[in-house]
Amino acid sequence: MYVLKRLSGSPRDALALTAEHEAIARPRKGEIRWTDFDASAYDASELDAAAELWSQRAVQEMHSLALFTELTSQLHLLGAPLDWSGAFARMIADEVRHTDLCIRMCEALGRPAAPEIDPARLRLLAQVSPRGHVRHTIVAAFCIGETISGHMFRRALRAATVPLARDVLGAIVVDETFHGELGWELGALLMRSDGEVFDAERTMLANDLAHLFRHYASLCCVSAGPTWARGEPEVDEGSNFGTLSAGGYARAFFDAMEADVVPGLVAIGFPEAEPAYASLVSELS
Amino acid sequence: MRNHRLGRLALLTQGAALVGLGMTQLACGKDATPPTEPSHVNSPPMPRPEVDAAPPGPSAPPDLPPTTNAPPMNASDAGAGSGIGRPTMNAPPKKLPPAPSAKP
Repeated sequence: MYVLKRLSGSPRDALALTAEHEAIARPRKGEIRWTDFDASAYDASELDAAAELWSQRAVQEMHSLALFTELTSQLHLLGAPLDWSGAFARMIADEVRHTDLCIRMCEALGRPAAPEIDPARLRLLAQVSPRGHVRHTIVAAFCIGETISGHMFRRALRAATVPLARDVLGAIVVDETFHGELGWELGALLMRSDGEVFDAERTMLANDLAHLFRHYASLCCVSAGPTWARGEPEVDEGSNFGTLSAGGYARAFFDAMEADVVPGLVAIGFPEAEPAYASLVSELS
Repeated sequence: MRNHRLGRLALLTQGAALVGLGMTQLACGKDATPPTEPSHVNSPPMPRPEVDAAPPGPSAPPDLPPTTNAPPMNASDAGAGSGIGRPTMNAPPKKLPPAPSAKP
């Protein structure tokens, strides 16, 4: 385990690498009004809860950063066109930005974060062929994960009442929109067949969809079916720093699955997504 | 997802494969040829000639297996999840999903 530090030195060190990082970490659109935030306007318990959330999000974004970096290196072994490298360069920069924003949010709340990272959990080992591994990771992390994440962050942005949280979430949502688009394009391009090995890889992934759906459902606090989730309040009471209730996260999962994930997977060649999702809903209801 | 986008995705799946099977395919192909260009500055170091194979002197780099920066080799690490309560979309899947935390 290690504690994730945001910067390598103090501002007076004037490191070139820090200046470059700050430039990358700035939002692509809009600005974040850090200095306008007045922590004294909120209860300490609200600030504690918000800082805990944003610290956890920093860890999650660091996971994405490590995953996308690893994926990029795999693409270079597989002969992917150069524009894939360019798109992934932006993805990596986006995840650096998100991790940085989450840590800065904790600082703004007056509760600097020291998120602990377990390196053993930052790496996915190849389970099949390198190409099969890349496809599996893109379908799981982008077509399913980033799609649900986009729904979740857009809802969190709508729910946020604290202006600083709205600024930060707005910066993240801009990136997530691109991630969703990129993920589905990559997923589709990776479904071009070149023979029997591809067919075997496709079948292996199709057979894993039900497991993947359950995994993401558990991450989204899903404890019952969509009827339950859509009947729950989406947010908890009080000042909102960009959080949803458990029911709100679950609802984001079901809505994302039905609007985007399942139809998208069917479109790129996984008809098995429909029965896999139906099976999950049946188990939960 | 709107119909026109679904249709576009379906079209993208048609055509020649853009991604291959990896370095093994390249290295084993009958047309594989040795590189003719000089090594790039970031190429891995070439094997040292035999005359350099003498026991390392005091200034020679230690010939130790990589440890601190080596990726974890334990197969049980594959697919380990974060185990934290908040939804983290890209935590690698576990075989058994974690129980939802009381705090989302």
